[in-house]
Amino acid sequence: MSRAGYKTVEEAGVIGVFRYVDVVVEAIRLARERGWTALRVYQPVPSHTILAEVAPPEKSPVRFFALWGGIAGTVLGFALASFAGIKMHTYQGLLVGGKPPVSVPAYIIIAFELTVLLGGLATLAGFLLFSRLPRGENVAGYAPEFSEDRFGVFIPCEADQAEQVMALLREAGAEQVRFEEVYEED
Amino acid sequence: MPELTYSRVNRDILRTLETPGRAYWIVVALLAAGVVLGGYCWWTQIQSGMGVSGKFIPAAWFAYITTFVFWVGIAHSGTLISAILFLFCARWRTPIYRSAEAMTVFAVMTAGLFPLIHLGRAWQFYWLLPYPNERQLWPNFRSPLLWDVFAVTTYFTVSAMFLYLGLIPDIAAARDRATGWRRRLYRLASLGWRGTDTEWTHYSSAYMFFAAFATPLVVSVHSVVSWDFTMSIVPGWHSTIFAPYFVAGAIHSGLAMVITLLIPLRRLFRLESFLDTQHFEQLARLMIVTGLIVGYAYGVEFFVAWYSGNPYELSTFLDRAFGPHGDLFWAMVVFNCGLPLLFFAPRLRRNFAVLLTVSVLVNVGMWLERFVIIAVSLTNDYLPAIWRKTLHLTWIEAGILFGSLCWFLLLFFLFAKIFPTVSITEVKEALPEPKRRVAPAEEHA
Repeated sequence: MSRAGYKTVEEAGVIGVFRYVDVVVEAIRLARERGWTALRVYQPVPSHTILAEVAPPEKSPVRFFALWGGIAGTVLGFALASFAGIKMHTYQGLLVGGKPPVSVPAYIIIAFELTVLLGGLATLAGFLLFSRLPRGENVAGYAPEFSEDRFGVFIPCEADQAEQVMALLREAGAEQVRFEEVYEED
Repeated sequence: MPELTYSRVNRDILRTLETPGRAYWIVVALLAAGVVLGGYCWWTQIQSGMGVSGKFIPAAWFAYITTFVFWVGIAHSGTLISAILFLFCARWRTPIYRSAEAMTVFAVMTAGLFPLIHLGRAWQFYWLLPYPNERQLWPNFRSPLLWDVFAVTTYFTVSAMFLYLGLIPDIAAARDRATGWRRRLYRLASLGWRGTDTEWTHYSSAYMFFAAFATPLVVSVHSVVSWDFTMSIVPGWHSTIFAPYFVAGAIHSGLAMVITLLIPLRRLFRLESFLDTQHFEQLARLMIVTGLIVGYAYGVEFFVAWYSGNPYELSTFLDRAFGPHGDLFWAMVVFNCGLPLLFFAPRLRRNFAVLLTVSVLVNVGMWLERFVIIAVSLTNDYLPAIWRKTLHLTWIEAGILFGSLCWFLLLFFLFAKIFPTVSITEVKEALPEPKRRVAPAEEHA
């Protein structure tokens, strides 16, 4: 998609502004019935009614990041403490406090703390990755009212399909509808 | 909160970020002056040597380690309120948790200064970290001091990430209304958050995992701090009750600090419609529980000292109660265990003046508790030459202690004017969803 040869359209579509959660749910169902399955909903709060309707049925993959981050932390904790103990014993000939170089009970604490640390870091990384954050201002359809008290249903479409989609959203009960395009940043 | 709407929540909470008045700047200037005083005392100590801190061998752990444990303890109730009560679905935590969580991060930042101050040569703190070096020397991972480094560092990092994660949608709400430098800051800090269904799905999942990670972490951190003492053979320290005793004490002091901060915050930022008497009552009820646990621990310590038949242990405990620092011990018992019992009376736990007074005194009592455990035990160990020595804070120590309090409050006050201290998202979530067609059951409700 290009516009007068100057800029490339990154995303285009129609945004409908809604006040009520149940009307948003009806709009999503109506859009899907008419074949508009790819849509995005802007919400001021995580409405579980809307998320259950629009989100994919499987759970967020962030949980795998939490799990593997935690496992990596446990392994790293034991490995780091054991490595240091073995090194001190091998190179310095030191057995501190008469304890073996690999003192498992004492190292459980280091392993636990690193489990939580890496689990937390991986969870944050997973959240940012799957939410595609951080990102710039180029998001089609967004309006400041969506962080206050309004919900937005955005249906990506071409300019020549806009009238049809706007009619659909008005029929579903949208307070306002508009066609928006965002362009690739230079 | 039946009268609240989504847009009123935005308006009322974001109003607290408006340009502050003269009173705010006066408070900030006074707190900054306190920080400068603390910094001057630390600088004097660095120039003159550790002798000015008043510590002596064997009581090398004196005011600084007492204050370190105090601040780490303060942090704990923030995580209790933000993570543990979240997992238990305790709705009343909603307007409180952001302040408590910020308090956690700032308390850990304050606590983190004290091992450095205590080190003397603060610039060599990195020797505690396991980094490869040319002499093949590694820290001792069997030492509780190193466990502490890992526990406190992890606690700070995870608490800061948890606080930031919860803030992202609220910063986005602030961004959409801000202008000037605030808008630039919020645009950067909100990471481009738009509140899409995808973002909320992953956000909810990540938030729950952070709460799940933070819950055992909070228990582990103060347990590890307690093992700094327990793993030694000093009478009065070598006890298996220390971990749960320290965790309960930490939450007790933290709850008192939350109340101490929230009462003036509620008044200054006109947050009465979000923070009502019911929230403070719940905090007061929790303080009764933690105060009783702490009182039980005090009793059990004495019982075990007597029942063990160990004369050194018994001597230490008798010294605590009837020695040169006996007045501090009894003040600690009254402040930490006696005063919270006043909250059994509903009239008293709904009275803000009583709540504030008791909370401040509990904070004093909890600092005294750490002083009694740490410093008093060290002056009654196996060297009779130092028995019955009376400990005093030098002006350097008192200045640093006061400076740390100002530093903590300054961070909190600055935070409260830059970021929302009440969660916009969670307050809205607690409201009924806006629906055009009200279900018959809701109509009758």
